[in-house]
Amino acid sequence: MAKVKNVQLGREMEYPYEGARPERQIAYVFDTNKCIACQTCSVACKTTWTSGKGQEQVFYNNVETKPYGFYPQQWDVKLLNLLGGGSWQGERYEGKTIFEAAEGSERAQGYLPEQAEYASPNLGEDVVAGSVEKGAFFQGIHQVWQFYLARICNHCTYPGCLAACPRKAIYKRPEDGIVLVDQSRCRGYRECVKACPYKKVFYNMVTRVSEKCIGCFPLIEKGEQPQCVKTCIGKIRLQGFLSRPGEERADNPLDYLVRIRKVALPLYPQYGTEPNVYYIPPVHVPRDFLGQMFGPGVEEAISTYRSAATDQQLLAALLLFGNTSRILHGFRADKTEAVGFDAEQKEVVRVPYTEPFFKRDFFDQKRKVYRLNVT
Amino acid sequence: MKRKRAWVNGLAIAVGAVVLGGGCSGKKAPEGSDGATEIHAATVKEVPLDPAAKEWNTARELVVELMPQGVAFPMLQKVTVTKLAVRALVDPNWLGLKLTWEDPSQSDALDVDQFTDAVAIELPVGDPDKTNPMMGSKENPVYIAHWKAAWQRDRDTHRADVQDRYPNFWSDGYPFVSGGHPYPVQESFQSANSRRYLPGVAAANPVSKLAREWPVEELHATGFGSLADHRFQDARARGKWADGKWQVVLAVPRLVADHANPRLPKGAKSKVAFAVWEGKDGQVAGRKQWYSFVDLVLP
Repeated sequence: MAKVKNVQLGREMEYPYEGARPERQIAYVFDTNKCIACQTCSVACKTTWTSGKGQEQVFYNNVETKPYGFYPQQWDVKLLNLLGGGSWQGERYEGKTIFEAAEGSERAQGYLPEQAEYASPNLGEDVVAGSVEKGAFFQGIHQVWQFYLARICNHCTYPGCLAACPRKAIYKRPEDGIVLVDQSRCRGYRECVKACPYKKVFYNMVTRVSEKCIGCFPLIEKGEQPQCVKTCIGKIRLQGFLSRPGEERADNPLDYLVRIRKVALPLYPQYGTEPNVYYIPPVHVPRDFLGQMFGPGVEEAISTYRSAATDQQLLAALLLFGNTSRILHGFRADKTEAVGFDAEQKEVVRVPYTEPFFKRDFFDQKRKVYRLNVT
Repeated sequence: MKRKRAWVNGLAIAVGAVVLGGGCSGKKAPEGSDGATEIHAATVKEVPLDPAAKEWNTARELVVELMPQGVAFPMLQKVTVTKLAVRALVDPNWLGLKLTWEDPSQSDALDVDQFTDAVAIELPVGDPDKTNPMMGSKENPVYIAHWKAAWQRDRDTHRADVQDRYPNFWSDGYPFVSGGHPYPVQESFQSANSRRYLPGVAAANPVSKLAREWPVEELHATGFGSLADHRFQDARARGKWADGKWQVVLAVPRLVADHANPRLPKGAKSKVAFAVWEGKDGQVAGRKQWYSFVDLVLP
């Protein structure tokens, strides 16, 4: 195996191929604090890409309730158990990645889910981490927790699926880092399904080959954000591109949020694939749970996130979520508005820090009717 | 990912293959009923595809002891099918190989956790003595005929569908389909637009074919990971599972225009290698038991 630099682990690690970072890496930031699990993203994705026969249980995008929601069932718990644990020394991970833990006969440590584990996408939905004591509902804020975790393919820098495919039917595009399964080349071995630590490669029993999230590349190529991002009614998502490590630009919203302010963190970085969907952690969840899920930067990320109200630059970046269909390559914090720019540095969105407030009279003189909503 | 490194890795594996595969560390000599260690095809008027045809009794049986594939990823750690019995017949146009192995379970369904039983034969296309038995090389490619129980089931009944696995599975409809529930894939997905929602089919992936004339696929390979199907599919096959045993007949044309096929004229000496997959144990791709080249004598 080759040695590659995994910036999320703070060290080199083993990988079957030499590192070859793309010119720019597709990346997303999801704000878990804003997600309400309405599943609009899941439906938008499903109707766009996976409404064919054999794709009934294929969800390139799903939203699961943590800690008890999974799709497929137990996906993260199972792999965590297989890997056997590890520890962080500061920002350096000392445990084994899926590549380093692989048995001699395989390229990556993993497991193949049983079909039944795909049968109940919403099992565990809205289940909280503990029971609410009798009467607690009437006594203010109760102490049990849950949160919603929206999941898509992470378009990893070091994909487990790509590493495991014996046919090299999976490839990572050098121009944007999107990871794709070549539908004409795959032979349905399911090594990728087994190796993907996030279980985001699916086997289609009708076409008898495997499929995965394509990052809505036809939209990306037109400068538009993916379906799951554009349709999110909670405006929890932002898609853009990460620069190569060491080449970050402070005016690139993805670089700024992920690498400079570190307010958004990768999901299970210890798996070692360097995933590229970054999550702003939920502020109300126990830190040990979040540490296992998002790595050692949780406390700092939450602290930074909580400062957004008084940090205009950070606020500007966060306000760009969900306010334009165009991919933002640059942003600026003006005095009263956040401004976003496309690849040609053309202004494409302007969002006020404070929404204008209008109050109308209860009675509409022009139409001679009473208004039900006056603000 | 950089291809150069992959090529270097592939070269290293290929060298390993020559050492392990060509030399066949641990390979036991095949055992014929009369002490022979090569396959002598018997001549018949017409090679039968029926494994139960009496003509097969005229051919000598050779038994090979299968080994786990342990050179290329993913590997098989332990064999679950230990022996494969081989008989060969020829007629003027066809070479037929009857392959028999014990398998208590008939695995012919495909789903995320369901794998198919399968068997394959591999013959050199060029010089048999210079061909790497583990998927060949660019200079000396190999021909492969690959039979799958799932394809046999497709042919014996109908192309397996969602409702075969889950009879009560309901769907309101699919984009651009015709007909009604349960929207059989071979009938309701005739239009090009409906097939756009079957990505493997739309991409013309041979694995995704909705109709297959024979339960066998002809392939060629020039090294690990290079498996590709033939433009023209000439091979025939028929398999039958009974009493805890698979009997599969693979028939390969002796002389066809397809340059990717081996040429097997009268009096030819070639070689043949074998691979068996046990679906119940999740065996697929390199997770197989195999046996390296055995000499093949064709009258």
